[in-house]
Amino acid sequence: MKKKSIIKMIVDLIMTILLPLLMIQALAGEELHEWIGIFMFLLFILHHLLNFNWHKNLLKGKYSVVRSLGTVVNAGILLCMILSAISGILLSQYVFAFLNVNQGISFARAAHMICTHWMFVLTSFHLGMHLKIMKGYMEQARGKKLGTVSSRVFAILFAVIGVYGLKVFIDTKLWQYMFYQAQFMFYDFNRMAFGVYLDYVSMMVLFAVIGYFVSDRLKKISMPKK
Amino acid sequence: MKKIKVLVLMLILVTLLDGCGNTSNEASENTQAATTSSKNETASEEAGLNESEDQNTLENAGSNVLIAYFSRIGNIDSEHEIDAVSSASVVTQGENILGNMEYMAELIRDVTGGDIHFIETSKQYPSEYDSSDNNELDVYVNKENRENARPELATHVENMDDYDVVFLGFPNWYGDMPMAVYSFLDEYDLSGKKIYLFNSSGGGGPRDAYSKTSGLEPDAEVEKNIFSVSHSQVAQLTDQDMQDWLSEIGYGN
Ligand code: HEM
Ligand SMILES: Cc1cc2nc3c(=O)[nH]c(=O)nc-3n(C[C@H](O)[C@H](O)[C@H](O)COP(=O)(O)O)c2cc1C
Repeated sequence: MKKKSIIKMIVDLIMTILLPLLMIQALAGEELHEWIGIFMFLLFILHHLLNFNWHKNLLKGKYSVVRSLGTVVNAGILLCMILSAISGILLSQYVFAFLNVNQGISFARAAHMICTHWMFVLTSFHLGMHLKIMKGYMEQARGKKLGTVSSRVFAILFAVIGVYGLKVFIDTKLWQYMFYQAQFMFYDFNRMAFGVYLDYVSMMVLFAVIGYFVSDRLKKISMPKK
Repeated sequence: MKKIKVLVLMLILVTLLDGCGNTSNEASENTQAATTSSKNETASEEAGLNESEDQNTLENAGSNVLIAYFSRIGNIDSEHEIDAVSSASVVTQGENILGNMEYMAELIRDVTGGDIHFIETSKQYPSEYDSSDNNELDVYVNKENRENARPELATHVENMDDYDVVFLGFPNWYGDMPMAVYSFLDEYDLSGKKIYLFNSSGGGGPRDAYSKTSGLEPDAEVEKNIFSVSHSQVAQLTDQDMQDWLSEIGYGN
């Protein structure tokens, strides 16, 4: 395994683990959230450098339906990430408190909530579109290919977790935060933070499953001959 | 075809899961009805009626219950008029405009007969609070939070020793209790007293007010079950809702 792909794999893995942790901001701890948010942003930049080919090839080649969708999703993630980081820094109560920004604070608060939630959904979708890469990581880690049986087991596992994720999505009314129908986020402090973390993981799986199915379908549309 | 089957299966599973899960993520769970035996309640209600005439007079000894609350209404300057329609933070009673927490405090007084204490800051908050970005109140409160300020209070409870029970009400101000509530908690040693928290919010709930309060008053007994509603529901609250909460937490037993 090449050194670069090992780094890629580790960066992707850490980002995947950190994203749900960032989403449970107040439960994880407000100061910790700010540090992890900054770290996430740095990893994001690294992720772009490691996948720089994407930028190089943006203006090359044909745009199939899947590729177009992927490009739109990626552009959305890029935008949301930058806005999340900027608004987060403006809102900061600890790490960047010395900047003491108070003007524009209401706008930053709204922007942070909307952008982080869109980023969460789009990133999960993006993960699903690239599930093959994830599978590749796993195969490399095991040193051999996944058989049909274990593939099936994973598929069922993802489906079950995804169904639970749908339930969490409905219960938390996550779309309210995406479309700013709710001004403030609700966190249940009576629950264990780790449980809420797993809830967000399950929502990630839900959107990853959707991303996988959608791109799979679209690939077939783009290649009608086979 | 196979995928459609999978989808249908997923949908069925969702409905099944939805039935058994604990879906109470709304902050309104406390308003559920609970059957009450009205033994001591009638007594306390009478007491409440007697004292309810002259609120804010803490001298009228007799009750061992204090109902302290903070509210935006009453703590802001008069530069801008309070817009009762666009602001979700008020309850109108005829001519009167009450803060949400004030209204809730009065319901608790109706039921417990306690003495009301309004937590008022010496320096008033900006009254400009609308949906516009950068309204003065947002900017001011954000600064206060960031500095972890302890605004000076204009009102004080002279006879705190007389109280065994303290109801403490606060709105959610940017994910926290207003800093003036911390000033209040810093000012008094509530050791040995029972503390009940009540709250209204724009959907964010009481957040970690329970652990914050018990941290600041380690020798008080803080009730974990906080009465919390969203500000759109405050005006619909009645004495009965308070009674239900109190019996749920075993108040007066
Ligand atoms: C980059 C990925 C990030 C994600 C996914 C993320 C996610 C979130 C979420 C879901 C919330 C809760 C929203 C709410 O309660 O209104 C939040 C709040 C917050 N975040 Fe982030 N965040 C990120 C980066 C940052 C950074 C870099 C900082 C600052 C250094 C930051 C500072 C804050 C602050 C101060 C709050 C509280 C806002 C408030 O009081 O309403 N975040 N974040
Ligand atoms: C400065 C300010 C900040 C607020 N921040 C929040 C918040 O972070 N989360 C929330 O759910 N509601 C928030 N609200 C809404 C209030 O908690 C809610 O309207 C409450 O019912 C107001 O009560 P009052 O009329 O007694 O002041 C905020 C209100 C104000 C004025």
